[in-house]
Amino acid sequence: MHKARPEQWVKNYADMLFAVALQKTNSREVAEDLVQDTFLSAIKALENYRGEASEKNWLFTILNNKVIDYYRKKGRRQTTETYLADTEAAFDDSLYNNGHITGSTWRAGWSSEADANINDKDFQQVLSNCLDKVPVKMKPVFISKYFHDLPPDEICAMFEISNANLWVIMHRVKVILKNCLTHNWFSNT
Amino acid sequence: MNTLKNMLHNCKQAQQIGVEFEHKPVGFKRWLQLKVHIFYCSYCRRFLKQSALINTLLKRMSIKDEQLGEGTKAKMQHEIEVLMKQGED
Repeated sequence: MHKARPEQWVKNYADMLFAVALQKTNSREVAEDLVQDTFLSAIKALENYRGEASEKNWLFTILNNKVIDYYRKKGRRQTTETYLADTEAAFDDSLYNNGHITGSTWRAGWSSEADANINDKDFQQVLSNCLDKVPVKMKPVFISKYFHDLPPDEICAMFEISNANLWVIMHRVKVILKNCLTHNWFSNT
Repeated sequence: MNTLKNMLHNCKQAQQIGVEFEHKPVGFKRWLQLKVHIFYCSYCRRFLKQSALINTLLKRMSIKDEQLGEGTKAKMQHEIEVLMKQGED
C-alpha cells in the first residue's frame, strides 16, 4: 500500500510530469497548466486514492487524462507514433539510402584537440544550442534518459510510447546532436 | 544469406542497436549483428564513438529547458499547501 504525500509532489514529480506534458502538447504554457491542474485534481481526489497504484503512476494517470481532455477541446492530436512515421522519410533521405549511409555527413571525424576543450563554457553553450534544435516531440524523451536517469521501461510508460520507438528517438536525437556538434564545434577548432 | 547482407549493409539499423546497447543489453543476436557490422563499417564505428562521447558530455551538463521554473514550482507548492490546509479544516 502506498501513501500519498502531496507536500512532496512538486519536488519529486513536477519536472517529470512537465516533460511528459510538454512532449504531448508541444507548448510550455499548456504543459505548465496541465501539471498545475493535475496536482489540484489529485488533491481533490485524494480520498479516492487507495494506494493501489504508486503515487507516481497515479499522478501520471491523472495527467494523461488531462492531456486527453485538452485534445478533446483542441482537436487532432499528433501521437509520437504518427510523428515518427511522418518524419521518417525526411530523416532517412538526407542520411540513409535503404538503410545504408549516404552523404558526406558521416565522413567527418572529430579532432582530438577539440576534444580537450570540451569543458569550456563555449562548448556547453554550443551543446545547449544543439539540444534546442531537437524537435519537441523527441527532446523531452531524450532528456529524461539523461537528466532524470530513468530506466527505459519507465520512460516508455511515462510518455506512452513503445520500446521500439524509444530507441528510434534516442538514435535520431544522437544523429541530430552529432551533426550539429560537427558543424558548430568540431570542424572549426 | 539475406540476414548477412542486411547485417552488413544496414547502417541505420546497426546504429539504432548501438545506441540502445549504450543503455541496456540488446540480446545476443542483435549484439552480434552490431559487432559484425561495425567490424566492417568505419562510418558506424566512428558514429558510435561520437555517440559515446556525447553521453559523457551530456552527463556534465545541466538542463533547464525541459524543467519548470523555480517560481512556477514555488507557486504550485503554495497552492498545494493551501488546499491541504483547507482539507484539514
